[in-house]
Amino acid sequence: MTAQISERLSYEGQQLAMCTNPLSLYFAMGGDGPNFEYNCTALWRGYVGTWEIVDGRLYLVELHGTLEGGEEASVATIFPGYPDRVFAHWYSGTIRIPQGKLLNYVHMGYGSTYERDLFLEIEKGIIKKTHVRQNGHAEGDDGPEGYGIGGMTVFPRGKQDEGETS
Amino acid sequence: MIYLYWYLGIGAVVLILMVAYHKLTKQKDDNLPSDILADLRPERKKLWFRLLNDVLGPALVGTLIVPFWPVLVFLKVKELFFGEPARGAVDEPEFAVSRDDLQTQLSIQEIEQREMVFDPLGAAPNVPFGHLNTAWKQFCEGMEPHDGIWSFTAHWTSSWDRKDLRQGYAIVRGEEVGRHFVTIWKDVEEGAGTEAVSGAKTEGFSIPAWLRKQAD
Repeated sequence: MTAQISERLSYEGQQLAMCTNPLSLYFAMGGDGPNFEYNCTALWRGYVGTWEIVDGRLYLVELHGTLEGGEEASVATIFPGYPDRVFAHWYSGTIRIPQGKLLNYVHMGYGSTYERDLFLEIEKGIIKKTHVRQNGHAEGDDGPEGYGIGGMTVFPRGKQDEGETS
Repeated sequence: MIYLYWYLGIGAVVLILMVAYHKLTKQKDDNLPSDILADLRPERKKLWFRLLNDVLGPALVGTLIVPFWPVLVFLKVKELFFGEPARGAVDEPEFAVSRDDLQTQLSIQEIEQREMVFDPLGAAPNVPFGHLNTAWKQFCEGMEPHDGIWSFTAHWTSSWDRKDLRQGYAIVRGEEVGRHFVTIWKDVEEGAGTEAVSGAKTEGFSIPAWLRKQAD
């Protein structure tokens, strides 16, 4: 139960935090996936993907994670033959991109609320609609901008039962 | 009056025994739920909350045990003879396609034609279901000669009260709906389309559906 590290999205020239995991859906829909090692409570899924929108299409362009055997995982680990770019045609749903200052911190999943949410509505990997939701205004101007997590427990490799909080 | 003293005295003994029993049988990981709750509600870590939770609450319960000890004894005896009420993990119901969800019967060729994937950057195989082509082939391998394939659209509510829309194809064998292959799986937001427009301020935050989905 820890706030989770987000995926990354390159959209309209900006590098954004993306609070949606399209790859989880790929695995749930029958796509072959390796067993990722998790060594941190802020990253239960075991990897961080970098995504890109090009001509209204959602692509996975990078992936960092460690497999259970200790090998580094990349896009090619999941999609052999497509090491640089994978079209996320399996994904239909809404991608959430939190923006602005933090309004309410929740130390679970992607539960924190920020001033705005940019939503990208995707149908089979293609953007159909975008909209912004205003959630409120943060008090004061000195708060941090953008998505972040408040803390995590990191496990030494192979010692998942003995955590140390950082 | 002496009976009242005896009654309250027994209550005090019961209280002491209950506290001792609780201390002796408390498992090491009993504090896990409170850690999780503290993560969800940071005020649980504050002094006033801990005073309320760790001192005033137990003191109040202890004060009530002394006059009402027969109730506690009754419950404990009941537990000893009939066991603790079941608190096992709740089985998550598994999604299945029902006959009501079925839409149209299609041939494999028709499905493969409509599910062909093409990407102008060549980032997906130009085959039915693209990167999920292997999973589709495995799904088809499970078919028998008289089976049919139907498209389906289903709404599903998980035990977390999460509402999904799932679409895809299901194998129908006689009257039975068998295995399914999901092609669309997305959250259905309650009140979708009625969100606040830019500039409006919303107050109060409930746990939205996307959080419940991402909490895995």
